[in-house]
Amino acid sequence: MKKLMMKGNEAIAEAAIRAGCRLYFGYPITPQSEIAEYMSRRLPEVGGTFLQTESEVATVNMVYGAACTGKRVMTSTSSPGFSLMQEGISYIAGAELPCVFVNVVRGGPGLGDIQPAQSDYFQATKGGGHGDYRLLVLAPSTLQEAIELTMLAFDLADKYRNPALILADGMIGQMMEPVELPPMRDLSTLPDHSSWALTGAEGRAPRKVTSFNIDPYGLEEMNKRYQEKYRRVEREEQRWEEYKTENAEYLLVGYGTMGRILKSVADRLEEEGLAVGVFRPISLWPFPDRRLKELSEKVRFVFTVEMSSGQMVEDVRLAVDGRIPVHFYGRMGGVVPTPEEVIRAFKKLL
Amino acid sequence: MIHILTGPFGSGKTEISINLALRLKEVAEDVSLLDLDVITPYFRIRDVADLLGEMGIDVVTVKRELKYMDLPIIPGRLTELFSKDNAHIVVDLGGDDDGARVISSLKSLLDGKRISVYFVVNVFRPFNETVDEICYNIERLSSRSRLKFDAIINNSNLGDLSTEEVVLKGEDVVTRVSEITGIPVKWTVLDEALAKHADISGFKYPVFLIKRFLGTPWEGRR
Repeated sequence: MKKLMMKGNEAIAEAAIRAGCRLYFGYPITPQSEIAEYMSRRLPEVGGTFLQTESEVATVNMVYGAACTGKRVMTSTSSPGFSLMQEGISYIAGAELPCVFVNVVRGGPGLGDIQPAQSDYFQATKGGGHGDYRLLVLAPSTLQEAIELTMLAFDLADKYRNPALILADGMIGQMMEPVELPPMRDLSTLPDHSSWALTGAEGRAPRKVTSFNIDPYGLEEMNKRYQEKYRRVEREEQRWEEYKTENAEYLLVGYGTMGRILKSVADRLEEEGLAVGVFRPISLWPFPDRRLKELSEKVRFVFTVEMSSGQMVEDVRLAVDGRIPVHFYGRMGGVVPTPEEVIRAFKKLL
Repeated sequence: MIHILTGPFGSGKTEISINLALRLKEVAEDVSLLDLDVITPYFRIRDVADLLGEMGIDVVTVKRELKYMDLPIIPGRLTELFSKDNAHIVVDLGGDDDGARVISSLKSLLDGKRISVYFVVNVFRPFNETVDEICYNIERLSSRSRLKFDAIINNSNLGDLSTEEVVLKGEDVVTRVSEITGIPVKWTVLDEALAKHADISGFKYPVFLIKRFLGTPWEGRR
């Protein structure tokens, strides 16, 4: 496999192309504009279409339209831009269409700043737009993983006919690491969507793809179908990484960039003779609650660290269900906690 | 003397600029490092300006209160800076043609000065892997910056996965670029971490050792 030195944003873009994505619509926003820039250069080379839209509202509706054809389509944005897309994402989830979103999160709320943050967890995992729907949410912590998860996001989106989201942060988007690029997917091997996709009605009855049903009982039936699918996703798609959890007495929980910092923290605390493990959720929805519950039966307390005021920690508390204390430390506004300050905060709990 | 570093996005200009300024500081009193990067939002000279200031470098960058702005800001003091006769000024440009364009707008300040322009390249970066791509990028950046390049700096690396073979592959590619463009290769850049156990006897070009200043929070550098 080919090795390259890539920025996270470039790696995500190239992975999408290798996954068979040939359609990208987007509007620039820091710290993810390199995804759009890369796509604008690469997609024409592989026979794809890149379009810079006039706004995120236009973007999400173009993604909606393109997804109706069953072709692999992606957009990327950062926090304020993702807020603008929420109405369309709700429509796409209701219409059960596969597509991939990337949110390279920056500090908020509002215009916020351009530094890395994790304060969009609620929006990503609890709905974001209106109605009872879920996104498949994957959070990479290395650039190699960003590549793997981007490819997986397309596969899961197709498998469940549901929008998937790569939830990264500015650090993952902007940092540079060596990566191995997987081979290009042969487009003829991609999942067959001919039973529902809008491909022109020649020779068959016309179809429609919609989230609309004016009859409440009919709409409830549609919702039951979505919920059945979400339960299946919760059963089958929980993903996480464990680091030094084997004989851990204390458990650190963090995702993305924070998960990586927590590994440094665990290493340094180990040098001081403390048995500290790290649990890093990879799928944020479905949240990997079953394994976290098991681990919480073996440790003294859980310490969750986020680049937010404390969002994922609510899912951690649900999984732990009061068996042991769940503590929290966070920085907001785009400030990334250093290993040193996390260690200080941890030691206060001992 | 003005040392201008240009090159594709993510080719390593900033780290090399910092190290070049520090190297010059060992032999010269007056060394300035000019942050003209209007492209990259993170991992910039302004992020380590205080540290470099303590090391005796005159860092010319955006005002502190504008440090985190998402705006292409060109710092002040440029007329004064470029009029110094006995100073070394290292200029870190942003990547690609949009980054290179900044220096073109300052051309009147550079007229008549002693300048060296370096093209920094890593052949393991996207769109810079082949001789053709690199020659095209040299032509494009030269035209956008309105500068003739004096030398190529081979910064071919794969980060923590770098090996001697990686560096040698880079030397091989830039040698062919040099033959086509007529631009000599000045240095092969080597991270001091790799240098500790690398056998550099097979390297074709003088080695420029660098220490990394910009990094991630888990490495304790940023």
